[in-house]
Amino acid sequence: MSAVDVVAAVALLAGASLGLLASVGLHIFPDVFARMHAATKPAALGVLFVAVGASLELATLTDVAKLALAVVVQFLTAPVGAHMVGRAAYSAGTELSELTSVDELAPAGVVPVTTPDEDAHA
Amino acid sequence: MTGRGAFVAWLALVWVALWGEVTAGNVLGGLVVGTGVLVVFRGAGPYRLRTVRPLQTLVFLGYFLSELVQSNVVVAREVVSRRNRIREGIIEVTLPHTTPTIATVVANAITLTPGTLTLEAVAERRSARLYVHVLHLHDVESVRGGLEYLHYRAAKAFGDDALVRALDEHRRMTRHADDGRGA
Repeated sequence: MSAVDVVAAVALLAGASLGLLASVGLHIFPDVFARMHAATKPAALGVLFVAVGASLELATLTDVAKLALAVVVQFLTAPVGAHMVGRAAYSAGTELSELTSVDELAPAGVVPVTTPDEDAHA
Repeated sequence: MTGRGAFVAWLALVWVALWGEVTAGNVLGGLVVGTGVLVVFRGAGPYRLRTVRPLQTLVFLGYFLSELVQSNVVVAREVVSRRNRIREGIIEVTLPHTTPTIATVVANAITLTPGTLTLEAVAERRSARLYVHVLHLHDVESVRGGLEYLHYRAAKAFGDDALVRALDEHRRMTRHADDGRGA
């Protein structure tokens, strides 16, 4: 086993462990919102670790390009997905757990989706 | 190059990366598909960054990555430890002097960083309000200050000069207790 193999193995294990932690978090956290925290963060870093580990082992440009793409897409989509789930849960009136202390969104409420085209003529 | 041209080029690059080989056919196919995507979704965006400061972008990415690692440690510890430190809350964070694109970058970065998740974003003329769900809300002002600092880093990287000046001015006027984070 070369040094590269060891680093790759550590990265793969770290990534897989983060995935495991994320799923345990999904199970034990108290409400939808807390669960989204568990679902997004370890998943994103976990995918990054697994991709790094796999890149070290595969080391061909073709495979590394695909893995890099997977990481980029994961980082672009994970927050959007979490945001949409959280937002939908909130607007559907999902109860916040009793561990919740502040809700500054309550007075404003969730606003309907509009197309943000301000950037075009900002 | 126009924003649209760059967008098609990016989609073509993704296409080529997916096929895994740089051939004339792949590049051509990517350009055709990219143009097609742009035509079908012409209502959306394109969001673009008019200003990109390479050095500040690196600083922003570095700050973001370190926050990402910390956030994983925080969530992992919460999962593993038997002590429950969860104290949830939703706070409002105002981004003064921003653009929809920068607000989008910040909102997504927030979701990926320590115990924070953007639930709602409201764009106004020159500012934006984000509603952020926080997992460990033990000190509202320090969390708010941290998120404002994240926006500041993003604005430094992607905002034009006028925006950075306005934001600097705003930060001078409203010094928060979070100044230690800027070090």
